[in-house]
Amino acid sequence: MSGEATNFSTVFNFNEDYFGSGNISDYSFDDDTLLCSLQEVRKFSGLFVPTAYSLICVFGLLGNILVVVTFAFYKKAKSMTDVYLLNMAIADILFVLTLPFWAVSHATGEWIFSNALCKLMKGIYAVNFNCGMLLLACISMDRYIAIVQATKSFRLRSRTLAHRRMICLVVWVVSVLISSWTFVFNQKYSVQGSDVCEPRYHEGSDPIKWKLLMLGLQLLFGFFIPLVFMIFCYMFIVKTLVQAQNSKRHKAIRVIIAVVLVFLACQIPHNMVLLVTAVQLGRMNRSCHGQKLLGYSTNVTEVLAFLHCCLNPVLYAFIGQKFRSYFLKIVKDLWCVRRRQKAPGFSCSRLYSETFTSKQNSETVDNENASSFTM
Amino acid sequence: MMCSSKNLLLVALMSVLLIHLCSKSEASNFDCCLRYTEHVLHPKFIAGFTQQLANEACDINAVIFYTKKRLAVCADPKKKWVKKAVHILSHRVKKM
Repeated sequence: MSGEATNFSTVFNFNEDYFGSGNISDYSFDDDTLLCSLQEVRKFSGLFVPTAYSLICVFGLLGNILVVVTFAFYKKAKSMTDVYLLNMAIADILFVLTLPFWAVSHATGEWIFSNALCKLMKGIYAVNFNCGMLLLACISMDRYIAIVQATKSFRLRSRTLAHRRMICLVVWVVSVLISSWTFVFNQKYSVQGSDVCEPRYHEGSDPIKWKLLMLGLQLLFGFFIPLVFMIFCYMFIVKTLVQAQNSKRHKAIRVIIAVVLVFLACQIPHNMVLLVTAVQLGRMNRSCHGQKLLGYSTNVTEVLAFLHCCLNPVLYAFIGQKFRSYFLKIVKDLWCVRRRQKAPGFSCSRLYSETFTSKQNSETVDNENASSFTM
Repeated sequence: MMCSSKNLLLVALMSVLLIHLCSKSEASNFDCCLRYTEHVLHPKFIAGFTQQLANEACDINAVIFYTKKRLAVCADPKKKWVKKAVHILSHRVKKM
């Protein structure tokens, strides 16, 4: 290298011959051999993504905070499904709280925050997304045990319920531990002059293999495993319900179909795009046009996938009669507090007794097996 | 049967153990090189260059030559002429 540098002029002369005397204007560069500029995609995502994320953030917070408030003040978590629902709501709240950072990142086109915040946000993002997916699988499992294994389930369910703190702790600790990789690989660095918050792998290792492994595991655990659990559990649940003589079974089946359909509608597009990305990774026959299309679809389908966490409170909690009555109670109580502030001495006792009886009614419904759907 | 349900629960928990690399990737809207040019660029037409690393946001290693006509041309870093051009260009920078 240094030898070449000292003989720079000879090298240069050699190069003059080597490069030929071609004029650059003679070259008609194939567009796909030029740097593929995704400026138009960034322009689109700079507007669309922040808007969509803000809406998801607001509605996700509203719905999930309502679930947490309901569990905190109005309803004791009695079944494992309740415990999972509460944890899922907390995970979803933490997840949507990272969205403003990504919204800013899309709006400005770069990561304007610190390296530490990059690692932290990617970490929280991964922990809670995966935790949510795991809890979806757990809920379908719990419902399966409650309904399909109804005769044997009583002791098992009470035993798992006794260990609920332990189980949830395990779910969370494991979720945090496994996301340590996100903390390791994600960092702030400069790509083509602008700072990004992205994973960066070791230079020596085969980066394509790492990226494929990441995408593959994401597809597997973020989609296929929850899907397999849901399909397996809900299939047997529906089979049992069809045979049962429960008056509520039609509603239960409808709820199951809604849960599965929403999961599929939200997750399939995003995971298909991930699959295409994985297949195309490192290939030399990609076109810039194709990459732009992939960029647009990644942005849109990701929003759709994140929308799922706004729909979880509706699908799992507020679809249930119990939850709805608690929800009404919260609204009434809030209304009461405001009325009392405005007009001191205003009595809310009538409202309280009214909701109390509705609570009593819903508690009796709760004892039926099918009501582990929180219906 | 109770045992099998418990095992199922265990499987559900164990499966999380394997999620370890499962980080959601942000939508990546980065400018990347996808292929290499087949032309050989003369250094006199090149204003500057940057490197694209496969271990970062884009997936192939490339040298991006910025021509004086403001084109960003992707070149294969393994090619001899690319190495030479990079060498000449970095020397030019040092001289300045």
